[in-house]
Amino acid sequence: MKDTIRFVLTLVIVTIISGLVLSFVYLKVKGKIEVQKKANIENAIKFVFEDISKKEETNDQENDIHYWKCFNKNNELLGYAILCKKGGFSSTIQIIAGVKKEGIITRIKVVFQQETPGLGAKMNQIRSNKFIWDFITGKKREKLKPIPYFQEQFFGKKYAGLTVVKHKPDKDNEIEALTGATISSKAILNGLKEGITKVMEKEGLK
Amino acid sequence: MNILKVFKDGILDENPTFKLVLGMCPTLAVTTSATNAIGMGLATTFVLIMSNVIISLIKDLIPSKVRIPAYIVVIATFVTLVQFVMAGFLPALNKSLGIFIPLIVVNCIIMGRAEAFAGKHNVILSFFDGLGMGIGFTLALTLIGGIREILGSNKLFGYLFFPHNYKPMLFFVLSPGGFFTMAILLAFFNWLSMKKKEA
Amino acid sequence: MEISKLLLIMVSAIFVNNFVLSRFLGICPYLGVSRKFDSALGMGMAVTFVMTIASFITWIIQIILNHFGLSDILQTIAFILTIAALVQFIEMYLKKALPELYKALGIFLPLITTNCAILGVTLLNITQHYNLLESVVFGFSAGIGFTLALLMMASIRERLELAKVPKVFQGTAIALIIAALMSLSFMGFSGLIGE
Repeated sequence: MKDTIRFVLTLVIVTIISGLVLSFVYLKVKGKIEVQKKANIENAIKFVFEDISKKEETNDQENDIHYWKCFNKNNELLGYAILCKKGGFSSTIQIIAGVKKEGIITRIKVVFQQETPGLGAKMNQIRSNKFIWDFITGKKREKLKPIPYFQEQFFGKKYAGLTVVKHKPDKDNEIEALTGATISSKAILNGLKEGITKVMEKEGLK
Repeated sequence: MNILKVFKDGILDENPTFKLVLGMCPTLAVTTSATNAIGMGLATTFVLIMSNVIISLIKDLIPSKVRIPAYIVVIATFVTLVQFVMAGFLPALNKSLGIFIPLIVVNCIIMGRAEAFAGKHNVILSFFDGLGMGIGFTLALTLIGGIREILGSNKLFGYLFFPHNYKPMLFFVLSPGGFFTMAILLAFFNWLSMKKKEA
Repeated sequence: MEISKLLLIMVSAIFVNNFVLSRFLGICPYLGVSRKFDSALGMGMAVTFVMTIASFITWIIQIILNHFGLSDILQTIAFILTIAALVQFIEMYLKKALPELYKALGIFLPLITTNCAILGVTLLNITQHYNLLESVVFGFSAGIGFTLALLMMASIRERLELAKVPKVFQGTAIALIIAALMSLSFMGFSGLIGE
């Protein structure tokens, strides 16, 4: 009996000390963590509407609709930044899509994904031309724009008629799938379509 | 036992990855790129050093029957601290390592060192054991990550490696490639130590 | 709708995103306890059992932690302690109530606390936003997937005893080569989900 009390007491003391240490540190870094959590979405919204200066959030959890009405500095409506979610191959992909009220996608940005590295995860890959040897040879190369090439295909297109194809696109409404990751590619397209349609209906635009 | 030997053993003779073959899950899962591998290695090193130090300090206060749960709490505390730092300051790395950061808790290297070393030795030796093992683990991960990234996506630390006309072998970034790379490296290190014994 | 979603979770956890072969969780027992078919079966059953119950309990604990706003601070500690305590309780219960089953699973139970597949399942339930039923189904299927991979590995390794393996590959290295081939063939299942 005496031993049992000693065992329990030891564990309780260890746990309490650990809890105190963690709470103390958490209070110090809490602000930073919350900023980072928000920054992901905030930066994405700034990316899809570059002229944004004011936004109004709508978060309807019941119907799973989450979007921001975005305005420029003259208070004119730029469009809607919509958070779209869709199950991909091994994770739920989350995208922020900027859509004008005519249904044209301005830009999109994937804000969360944990797809297979080398396949689906390439949705975030940027074309690069910088070699590791350049650090030794000191060779300068022209800067490429840091926009993932898969996502760039959606920019400036009308969302309604888009389809995913497995070859080089020859029509305007075609999106080339990522090699070996058709499921992830289709998940992005379907996620966008579903998310945008919901918001369009709610805003009475269609 | 001197400090230098303990430190060197962790990196070479008792390398946690290639000699003890511990902590295989993170070793295979996060080594799709060298950057991820280093991030994981350093996070594990931090937890390893801190838990070794604390456990060697409190080992006499803990009754031996409840030492395992007590050690787990200590390890989990430092893992949570790592999670805070990653979430607050390194969001990109945090995203790509995903659930493998909290899973450092069940990395057998850490529990193994707590049991086999820190529970029996003093603070200074335990510190250097943690440091050596951590560096050994980080180097091993970086080697695997580097090989897989170069062969599988023709990059190293995110920069191109071979000229453009090299077609990367996707196999190496995918999960079978992880097993395969590890198998070949393990066989290579077996061969090295056999050679050494013969000589 | 509900049933088809549960089926999808099962197929995905057993074949497409197999815990061992594609998510790299539970590699230590996969390499360590796969020399004999019988012990592999025992380990697989023990893991499936604990995973299912752990999914259920940690899901409830996460709700409690969320309620008090503590999930950032205490999630990891709470989950691993829950698993450790759970394993301990199951061990005591089996010893008393089902000595036959205890004989079969007993020696594997202490190894399970540090099996990253268990903690992995409970954390994935949270990041995938599964509800209680989905979590339990996911935990169970993940265990089945783990058992499947373990049994296949054990059967191959029993035969491998008779084969002539180059000296440098003996032991873990050849097991990893087998794992690579198995993982490669499991990639063929990836067409099962989608659309």
